[in-house]
Amino acid sequence: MSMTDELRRKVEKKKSGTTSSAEVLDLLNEAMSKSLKQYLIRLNAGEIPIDNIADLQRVFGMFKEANNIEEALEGNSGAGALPEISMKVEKAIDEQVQKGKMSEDEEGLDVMNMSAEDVAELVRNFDIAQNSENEEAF
Amino acid sequence: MSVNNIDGKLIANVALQTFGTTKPTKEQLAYVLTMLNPSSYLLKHHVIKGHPITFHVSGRNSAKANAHRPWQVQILNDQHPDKVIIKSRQLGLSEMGVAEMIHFADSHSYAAVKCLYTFPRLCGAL
Repeated sequence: MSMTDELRRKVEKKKSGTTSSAEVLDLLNEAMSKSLKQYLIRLNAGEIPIDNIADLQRVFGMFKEANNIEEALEGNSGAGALPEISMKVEKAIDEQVQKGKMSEDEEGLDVMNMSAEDVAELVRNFDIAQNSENEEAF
Repeated sequence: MSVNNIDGKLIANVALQTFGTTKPTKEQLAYVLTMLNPSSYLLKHHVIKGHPITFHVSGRNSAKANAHRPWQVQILNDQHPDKVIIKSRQLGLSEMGVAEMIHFADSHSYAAVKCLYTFPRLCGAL
């Protein structure tokens, strides 16, 4: 029996004999959702009092985290800031627009009609631009 | 050189999945293409001994000969799961192997992939 067969056998054995982490995660998420829902119902009904600022801060912290409030306020909801592009890379894109390979309007760039060859040329120009920048950094 | 079949429809689809639009901005387009093409990703992000990598060095500058490695590009961008390379020594392919794995892990991070890179001998890892 080869080493890979042996490893595969051990993995299969482990899978069949134990509970997978995905299963535990599902159960945990389900239990947490239910508990949180019950807690919030009791909180709304006034059964659980918030009688100091520390309690309120904790609840507000959870609320912010669950809703990505801070990111939304910064205008970055769902994504970090994209890396800036260099002038050379921008020029490579502009050249493709000028050649009619893609079009640009206020919504963004329409790339739908680009063929694999058009994209390969753009990627090649990107690489040349970035390689040249990296070379200057030596 | 790019050897992957990336066309406009694929870019629009990835932009839709990533940014919620089929009409990316210039920054979004640059980001998508950099993630899709391994050589572009490494030029943008990979650093060796504190320097960003290059595949081409102009002017036959012997002082920068180690940074002139044009043969690496096609090997990197070939995304076939099995690659066999007959080579001489000191072509920088171990570094490219590790770099390619980092690109794979980053570009498949949505699936929480796990990677293991093995060297044939202990000295290859040093």
